[in-house]
Amino acid sequence: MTADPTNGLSPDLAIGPATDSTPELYRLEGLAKTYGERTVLDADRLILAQGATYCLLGHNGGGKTTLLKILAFLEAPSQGKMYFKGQLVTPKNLVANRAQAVWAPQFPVMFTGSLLYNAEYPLKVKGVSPAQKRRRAYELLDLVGLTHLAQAPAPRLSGGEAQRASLARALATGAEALLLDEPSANVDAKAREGLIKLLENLAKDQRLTLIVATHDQEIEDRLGERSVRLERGQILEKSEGRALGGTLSANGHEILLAVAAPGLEPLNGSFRVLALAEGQNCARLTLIDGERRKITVKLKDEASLSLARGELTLSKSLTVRRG
Amino acid sequence: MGIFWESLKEALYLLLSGDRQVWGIAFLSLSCAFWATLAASAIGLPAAFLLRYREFRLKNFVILILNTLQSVPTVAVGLFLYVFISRRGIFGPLDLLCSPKAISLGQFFLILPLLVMFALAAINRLDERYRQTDLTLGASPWQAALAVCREARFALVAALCASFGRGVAEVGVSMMLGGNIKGFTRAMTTAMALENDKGEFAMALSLGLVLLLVSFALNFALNFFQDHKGPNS
Repeated sequence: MTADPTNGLSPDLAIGPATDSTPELYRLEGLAKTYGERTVLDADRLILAQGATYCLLGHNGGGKTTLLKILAFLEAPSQGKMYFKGQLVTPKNLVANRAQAVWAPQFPVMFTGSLLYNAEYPLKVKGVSPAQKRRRAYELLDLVGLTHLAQAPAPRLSGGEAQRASLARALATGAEALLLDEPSANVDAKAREGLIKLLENLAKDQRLTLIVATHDQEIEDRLGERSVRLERGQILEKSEGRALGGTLSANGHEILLAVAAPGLEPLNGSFRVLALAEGQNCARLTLIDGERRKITVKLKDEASLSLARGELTLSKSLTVRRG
Repeated sequence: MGIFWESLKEALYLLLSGDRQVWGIAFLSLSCAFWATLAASAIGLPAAFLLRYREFRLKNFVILILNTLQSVPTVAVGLFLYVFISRRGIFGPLDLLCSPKAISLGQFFLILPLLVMFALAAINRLDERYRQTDLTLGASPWQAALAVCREARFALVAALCASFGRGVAEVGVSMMLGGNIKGFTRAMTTAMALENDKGEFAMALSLGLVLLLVSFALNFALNFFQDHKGPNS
């Protein structure tokens, strides 16, 4: 067993083909965004599944916001291809695609008028009848806990209120993909709990696709079954899911892996061990499957990995990354 | 100073007594500038949006030219258009010369660059997130443009006022294209110049007062609009 200095990163960072249970929503190929000389995003290959929740992680300036805007069809990539639901995104279908994904910026702007006007706006541009419009807007304001401010001038909302108002307004579009940029920034502790619960509910019960750029550890823990880590515009790491338990069994160099987690396609099969790296509280096992794709199994915290008499066992949580 | 107070007294009398000549001239000036501003906004506002959101070749050059044209002398516009609409010009058969239409046309060309650049500045100043939010919330490009106008309305109305102001206050175009024909194309500014030459200070002063009054009314309306429906109220 050798330490793996690359921590299981591979040059090809695809998740692998989407299965029937989780059809792909976005597929980016060789996509890059440059402003003048500066490359802000360079996503070689990225597939995002429909109905899944992703956390976009990484430091400031990593390219998270740019990626979100591209996924919202608001900015055109400088090069590369993007597929949405299997169809190539072109300038012609850009506007039609926009209706299916909605972006909520980190610092939302509220239109002049009441909060209710803002919540109704997406329904207004769709031509929904006034009565229906009002009912839906109130439902959504109730969902984010802002009903009492419905008649208040929206541009005067506080940062946290605007953040929640922006989420309600985004939900009014009925788009199936929600692209949220730091949704919990500026939100106070009490409202934050409600917000995270709401996001969990949207992801699990309503099966919306959530792509959330966040630095909030709690959001990451509770929503981030899957995550994409961006640094300096590059996709550094992709996590397919956090499994709550699983078994690994090893027979010589072959490992049998069975991971079951809600919302995650089961990983079953036999893999060859490439490397095992042991850190302070976590161990990282790099495997390779029959199709020569790399998979990193990260054993976190108190999870233990023991390899005795050819049998690998683990306990507690593990994160599975497929590269 | 005696002559000033005397003229002022007479000017006020002319205005308050509803002197047909004075008010006729004022009405002509206002209506010419109104139509010119209306036409210039119909072309200028969409043009400002194009300049803001579309990429095309020579865009910077177009902006440079528009900036230059903002300070073009009114008589130059008058002279230029004269060539086209005089009897021997290509638009001669339309018989526009020495008509209120000619004044409106000249003012239109005079204020168009100003209106485009002011409107462009107004849209540029608005945070880009407004338009992006509109678009992501399902607005069509047209709806998004309307929403941008809604958010930038104070600056846009100010642009319209400035354009109208330049139109109503100019002399060169009205003189060269309108011809200062009594009862037909005599505008406030041309009449003032003429009455001043004739020594009819009262008449000139009363028209000057109307001009000031118009300017005051415009600014008052603008202030009222901004105070009572301010961006944060």
